[in-house]
Amino acid sequence: MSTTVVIVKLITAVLGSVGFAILFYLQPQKLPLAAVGGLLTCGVYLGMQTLLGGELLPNLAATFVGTIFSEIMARLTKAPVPVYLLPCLIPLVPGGMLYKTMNHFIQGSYGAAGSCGLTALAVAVGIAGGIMAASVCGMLYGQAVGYIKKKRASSGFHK
Amino acid sequence: MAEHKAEIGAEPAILPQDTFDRAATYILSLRVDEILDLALDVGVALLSCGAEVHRVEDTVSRICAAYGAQEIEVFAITSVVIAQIRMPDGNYSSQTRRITRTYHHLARLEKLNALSREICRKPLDKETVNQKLEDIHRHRPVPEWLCFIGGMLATSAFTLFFGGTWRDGLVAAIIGFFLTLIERHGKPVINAMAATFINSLLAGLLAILSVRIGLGQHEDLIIIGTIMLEIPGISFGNALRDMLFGDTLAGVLRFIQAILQSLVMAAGYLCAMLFLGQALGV
Repeated sequence: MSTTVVIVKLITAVLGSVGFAILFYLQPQKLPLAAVGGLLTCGVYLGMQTLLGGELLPNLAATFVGTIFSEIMARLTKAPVPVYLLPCLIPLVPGGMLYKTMNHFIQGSYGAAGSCGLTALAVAVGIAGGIMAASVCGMLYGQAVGYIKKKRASSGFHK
Repeated sequence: MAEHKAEIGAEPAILPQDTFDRAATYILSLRVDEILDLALDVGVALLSCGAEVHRVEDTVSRICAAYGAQEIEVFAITSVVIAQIRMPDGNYSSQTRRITRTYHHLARLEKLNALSREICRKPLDKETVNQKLEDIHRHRPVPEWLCFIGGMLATSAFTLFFGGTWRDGLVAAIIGFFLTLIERHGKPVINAMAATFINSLLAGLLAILSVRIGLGQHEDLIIIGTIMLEIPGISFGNALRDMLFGDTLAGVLRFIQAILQSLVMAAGYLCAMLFLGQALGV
């Protein structure tokens, strides 16, 4: 991929994320964060794809980074995680692969349709894995903080 | 001892605000029905604007606990919330709410979450909560025209993202405008699946026709850009998070709903492609 293509992809991913954030009624003052989220996931995805190739790992890594970003922002601003997560994940949605699947299906080339469908599935599995891994990290962090607070409170009580 | 008695005998009205605690329910004189009703109002509003199920269950039980409920059982899936609470004095209430329509409204989600935090810090009376809920529902985070800009921006940006030219982007923006129009004014009156089908069919037809009349250049890229608006990608994400937090049933329901919606979407585009392919002879 040439540098121009990468830059165009990054810019359009940011614009797309912001567009979706507006459609989902994100508060206007949070739109810059949606843009950062879109840039982050798309950047990680493109970087990992040039390094590793394939669809599964790049999507997994990009989703992981995006979800961690959302978890951190949610904790900082005391807002629910989906508020930041949804705009982040938009650039990864495998729209292109789904279209190719449908197109091959219509033209009767079922083999190609199957392979495109499986690629879309790989993307979906990658995104699912990324969300799960990062959400588990968030849960563990939350529980660790709760545990430490409880410890401190109980030790203070005994003093 | 005498001092203590004097304090108890004092008027409740002069209690400072921060003495609100688990006995708040008596000061606010809320019946057990009203407490559960109020908690469910917040919970149902959260669920219908796209919150995860575990957040809804958590919010309802926290609010009930803040009003002094002792035993709290809440169960929610994407379309129903069932809850039962029992007060220390033995009164109990059990209510069920059905949710028929869900949509994504991130600003409302955020404000409802803030409201529930506020209630848990310091229980509010019924009128205040109702007033705040009404304000949240009436609040418009962005003006109407900006939603159309959002839709047009989303479709055209993804057409360019997948390698379209500026003319493709222009066509995608026009289609995005119509899709947003149907989304905002059609969805409240038509069945959600039917609306998805009509949207996909319309987007497919417009994309192919625009290339035929020479305005757009790549029908595939225009269709891909508009597909992004119809794919229930968000529901997939929420379904996964639901399953992860232990609400397997809710997650599975949401997942199946998302798959069905994708199939209906695919059917819409397929119809458009088959129809114009046959009619215009590709």
